[in-house]
Amino acid sequence: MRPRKVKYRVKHRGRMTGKTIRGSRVNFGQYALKAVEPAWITERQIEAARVAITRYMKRGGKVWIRIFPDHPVTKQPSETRMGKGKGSVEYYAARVKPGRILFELEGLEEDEAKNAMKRAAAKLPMKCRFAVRGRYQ
Amino acid sequence: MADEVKLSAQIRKDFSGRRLNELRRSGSIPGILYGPDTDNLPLYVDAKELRQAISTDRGENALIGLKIGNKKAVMTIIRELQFHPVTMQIIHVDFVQIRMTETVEVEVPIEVVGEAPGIKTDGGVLEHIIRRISVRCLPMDIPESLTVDISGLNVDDYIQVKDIKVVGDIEILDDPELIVMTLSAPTELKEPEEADEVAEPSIVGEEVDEDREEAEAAEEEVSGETEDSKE
Repeated sequence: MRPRKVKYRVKHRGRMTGKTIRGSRVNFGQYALKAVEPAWITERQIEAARVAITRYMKRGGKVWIRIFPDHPVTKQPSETRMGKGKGSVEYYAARVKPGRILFELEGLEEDEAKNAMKRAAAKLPMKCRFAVRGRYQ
Repeated sequence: MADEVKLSAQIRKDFSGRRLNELRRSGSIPGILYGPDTDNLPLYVDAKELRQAISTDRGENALIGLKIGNKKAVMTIIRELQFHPVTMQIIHVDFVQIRMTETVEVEVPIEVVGEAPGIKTDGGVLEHIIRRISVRCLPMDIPESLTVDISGLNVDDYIQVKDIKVVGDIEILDDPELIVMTLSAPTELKEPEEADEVAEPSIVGEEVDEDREEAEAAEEEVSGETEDSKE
């Protein structure tokens, strides 16, 4: 997962303050995984979480990925002196704020969906919470 | 016939964000009341009572008799609930005052009944495209849910709004051709792609420049050939 076309090769890192407003509701499936902390999630982590969910589901069920790694992360080569410009793009990441829905699921029982999401959360670099459509506190 | 749920509210006079957060911490939920026979009235309700009011079978479409202070109860329905994005706690509620003799437009959830052969035998997944249907009816006729029978549904079959049968004087407002749910084939596990195979993204401006350079090079080649042929 990475962009097919970008306007600029590199981006500033930016700041991740506040909570997400758009993308905080379960919109496609019945169950979801919600981020509770801010984090940068790499394309590999998203793929690992997706595989963890689909492996647990075996056949049946449908998965939606609600985040996309569109932020280029650069790195200077090792043993390089300071300067000489910004490094090359190493990987792409999705910048996630608290409240963001990461994955959605449909076609499983709640217990199974919870277990699948637990496996996905283990692949991600921040705390997550299981969310159910229409369930509030 | 729908039962009325009673809820007491207090008028809210302080509108500052800090005061609203204090209210939420003390177990209340700020809200507002509006409608044809009332001015906009900021108020707050007890969080526990509100949760009880919307946990009935009719859910968020419950008829709520809102008693504000010592005044006579006003018949309302909930127009909007706002949630905290992380904790999913209710942070604000909109009540709209209704007249019992006039129709209202509400969204009613869909309830699935029956067992589809496509799920049982082929392992298909029932995918909801929409989960609530807009209806117009009298407040007392608001249904708890609209039932959709999926027995007889195979993989790649779908149900449209026009397939939903309603009882009584209820008008469906959604487009009859709109697809409500489909029975899709199960997801197949895709193995992760190799890291080397992932293509680097192209840069928008550079791509255009490359195309232009290629076109110019091609033109030069063509013009060179024609000059050669002239000689």
